[in-house]
Amino acid sequence: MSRVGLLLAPLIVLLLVVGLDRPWRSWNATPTGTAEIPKLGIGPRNFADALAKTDDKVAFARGRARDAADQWLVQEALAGALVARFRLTGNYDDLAEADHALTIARANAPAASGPIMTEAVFAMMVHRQDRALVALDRLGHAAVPTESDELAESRAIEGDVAFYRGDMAGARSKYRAADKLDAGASATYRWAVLAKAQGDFPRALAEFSRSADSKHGIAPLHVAGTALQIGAIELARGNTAEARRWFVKADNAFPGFWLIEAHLAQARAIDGDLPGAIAQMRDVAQRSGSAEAMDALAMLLRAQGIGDESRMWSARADTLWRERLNQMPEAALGHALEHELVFGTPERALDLATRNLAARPYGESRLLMASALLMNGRTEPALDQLAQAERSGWRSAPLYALRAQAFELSSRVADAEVARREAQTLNPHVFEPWTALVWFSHG
Amino acid sequence: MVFARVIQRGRLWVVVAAAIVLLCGSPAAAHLTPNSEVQMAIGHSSIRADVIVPQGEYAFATGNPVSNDARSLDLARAYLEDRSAILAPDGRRWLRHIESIAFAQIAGPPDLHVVEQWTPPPGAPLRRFTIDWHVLVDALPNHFALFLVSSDVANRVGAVHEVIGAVRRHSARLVVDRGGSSALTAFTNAVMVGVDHILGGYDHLMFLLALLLPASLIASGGRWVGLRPMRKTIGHLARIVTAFTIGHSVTLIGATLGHWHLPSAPVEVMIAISVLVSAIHAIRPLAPGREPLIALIFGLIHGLAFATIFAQAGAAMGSGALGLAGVNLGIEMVQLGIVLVTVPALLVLASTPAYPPIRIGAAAFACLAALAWIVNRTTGELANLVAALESAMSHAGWLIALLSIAALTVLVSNRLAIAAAHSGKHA
Repeated sequence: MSRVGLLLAPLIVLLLVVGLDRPWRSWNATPTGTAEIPKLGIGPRNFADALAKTDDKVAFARGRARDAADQWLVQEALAGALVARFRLTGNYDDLAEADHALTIARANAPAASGPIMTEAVFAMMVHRQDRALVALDRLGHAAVPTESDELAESRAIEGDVAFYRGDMAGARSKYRAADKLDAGASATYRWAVLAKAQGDFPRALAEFSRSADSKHGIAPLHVAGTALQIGAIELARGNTAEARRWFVKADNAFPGFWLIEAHLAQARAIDGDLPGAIAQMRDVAQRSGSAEAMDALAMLLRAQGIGDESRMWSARADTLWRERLNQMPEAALGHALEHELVFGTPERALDLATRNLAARPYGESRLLMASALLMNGRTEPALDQLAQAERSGWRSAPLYALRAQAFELSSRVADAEVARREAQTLNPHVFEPWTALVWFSHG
Repeated sequence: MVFARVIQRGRLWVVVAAAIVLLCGSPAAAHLTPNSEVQMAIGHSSIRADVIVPQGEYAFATGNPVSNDARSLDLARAYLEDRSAILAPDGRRWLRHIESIAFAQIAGPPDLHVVEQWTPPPGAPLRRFTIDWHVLVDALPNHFALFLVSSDVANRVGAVHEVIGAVRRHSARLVVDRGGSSALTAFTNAVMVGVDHILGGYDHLMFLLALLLPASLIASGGRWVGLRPMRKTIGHLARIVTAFTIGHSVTLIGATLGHWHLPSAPVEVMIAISVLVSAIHAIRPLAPGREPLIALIFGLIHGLAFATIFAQAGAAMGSGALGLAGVNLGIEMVQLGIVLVTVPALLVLASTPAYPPIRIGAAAFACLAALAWIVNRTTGELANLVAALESAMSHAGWLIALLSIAALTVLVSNRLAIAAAHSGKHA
C-alpha cells in the first residue's frame, strides 16, 4: 500500500464509523413505531377526531336529556358521553356533570332498576368505594336478572375496593372470582395493576400485553392507553429508553393526545434536553389546560431554574386543583396532594394526605402520607406508614427510596442502606437526578 | 356506532369501565424532587467536602443568577456560608475554605458544585462535629440534603460511599461522630445500643425496680411485715440482679446465635405482664423469697426483646460476639447503675414509716403502666395514656434524687439522734 493509502486508510475507517453510527444507533434504539402493537380496530384514529365525536355525542345526549329529563336511560347516556369525553380531556366539569346526570337518573328510575352498574363503575372511577358497594348491593336486588359479564364486573369492583383498602389478598381473590365468571379485557388490566403494585413488573407487562392481544383489532385509543401503561412500567423499573419507545408507539397509534405528548416531553427531559422538554410541555399545558401538565411544566421550569414562570404555572395548577377539590373531592384528592407536596405548604399537604388516606388506605396513599409527614418533620410516623404499606404487600422503588430518606434523616444509616438496596432492586436508577423530572407515570 | 349499540343494549357501564382502564396507569403518587448531596473525605486534620446543590432548586429558592460569572459565584458563596455551618462540640465554628465553586453539569440537570476544606478550631476534635445545614431546606419544604463519607483515614469506607445522615426542614442539624478505630467503634456502638435500649425501654427498668422494692422486706401471712437484716438484703438483691442478668443473657445469646425469629408483639406483651406481676408482688407478696426465680424467668423474656434490638442494630455495630458482648455490657452497665443509685435509698427508707406508702405508691404506678402497656400492645388502644405515663417515667431521675436526699436526711438525723443520745448518756 502506498504512503498516501496508509494515510487515507484510518481516515476512511473513521468516516465509515461516523457514517454508520447514526443508522446503527437508530436501528438499535429508535422506537420501532407501531410494528409491535396490535392491529388497530374500529374507532377514531386520532385525538382531534375522537374529541369531535365525543363533543357531538355530548351535545346530542344533552339535547335528549333536556327533552326527556325524567328518563333515567337518557340521563345515563349523557353520563356515559361525558365520561367518554373526560377520558380525553381530563376536564372535571364533565365528570361533575356526569355525576349530576347519574344522580337524576337514579332519582327517576323505578325501584330495583336504574343505572346501577354504571353508578358502581362511576363511583370507582371517582374513588367513592362505599358508594360503589352500595350500588353493587342494589344490583343483587335488581328487577332485571344480572348477566354474567355484569356479575364479573361487580366481583372485579369488589376486588378494586379491596385493593384501595390495602387488602391485596382480598383483591386477588375477587379478581379470580371475576375471571371465573367472565375474563374480559378489564380483568387483565386489573391483574396488571395489582402486579405492578407488588413490584412484579414482568407479570404486569405480560398482563398488559395480553390485554392488547386481539385478532380483530383494538380501538386506537385503547391501544394507545395500553402502550402508555407499558411505558409507565418500563419507567417504574428505570428502563427509560424502552419507556420512551412505548410512548412513541402510543403517539403513533393515537396522535395528538396531550397525555401522550406530555409523556414524550418528559422523556425528552430525561434524555437531557430540558429546554426542548419545557417548550413541548408548555405547549401541552397551554393546549390541554391540564393541571397535571401544568405541574409537570412547573417542575421542569424549576429544574431549569426559571423560578418566576415555574411559580406562575404551579399557581395556575393550584387554582385548578382547588376547583376540582370542590367539584369532585374524592377524585381530585390524590392528585391535588401530589401538587401540594411539591409546590404547596407542609400543613396543607398533611391535611390532604390525611383525607386521602382515610378515603383510600392503600399503599400509594400511605406513601403520600409518609411524604407529607416527612415534609412536616415527623419521621417516625412516616416510617410507620411505609411499614404498613409494605405489610400490605405494596412494593415500589419510591416506597423504599422514601424509607431510605426517612432512615437517613434519623441517622439510621444501616437501615437506610437496606432500604436503598431494595429501591435499587426495583429501579436501579431511582436515586439518579433525572428521576426528579418524572411527573407522569412514575411509581 | 359502537356507543349507540352499547346504549341500546343498556350496557353503558362498559364505556365508563373503559375510561377507568385508560386512567388507571396514572395514580397519584409521591414525587421525588432533586436533592443536595455532601460527600466528605475525612483526613488527618481536615475534611474535604464536595457539595452538590441542584442548580434549578437553588435558583428557584434564592432567585440568584446561575451563570459562572464572578457576581453569581459570589452570591452563591455568600448564600452557602450564610445558610450552613460546621460546629465543634463546644459550639465554635469550624474554619471553611472554599477551594472551588461553579455551576456545572455533573449528572443529570446542572448543579452548583462547591469543594470546601473544613478545619476544626484549635483544640476541637476532627471526628466529632455538628453540621447545621439550612441550604435550600428552609425555603423548600420537601428539599433533602444527604451527607456521605467518601473516605476516612481512620475507618474503612467501602466502595459505595457511607451514608451518615440527612437533613430536612425540621431537622436541619446532623451530629457526626466518627469515633476511633473500627473494632473499638463497633464495640462502643454496641454498648451504646444496649445503654440506649434499656434507658429508653421503661418496661425493663420498671420490672427491675418493682422487684427491688420489697427486697429488704420479710413476708408473713400474705403481707410484707418486717425487715430483713442488711447483710441478707444485700445478698438477696445481688441474687435478684444476677438472676435477671442470667435470664436475659441466656435468651439474648441464644436468640442471636441461634437466629431465632420471634414475633415481637407477644414478647412485648409478656414483658408488660412481667411488670404487672412484679408490681403486684411489691404490694402483696406473691412468691416471697423467690424473687430471684421470678427475675430469672422473666429475664428470659426480656432477653428476647434485647435480641430483637441487637438484630436490628447488628449491621451498624458489627454483628457477632463482640457486638453481642457490647449490647449486654451496655444493658448491665445501666442496670448496675440503676441498682447502685436506687438501692441505698430504698435500704435506708425501708426502716422508716414513710416506706410503705412509697412502696405501694410506686407499685401502683407500675401496675397502671403495666396494664396500659398490655392493652396498648394487644389492641393498639390507650396510646395517649401510655405516652403520658412514659413521659412521667422519663422524669424518674428526679424522683430517685428526691428519695436519695430523703434517705440521706434520715441517715443524718439518725446519726445525730444517736450522737445526742450518747452525749446525753455521758452528761
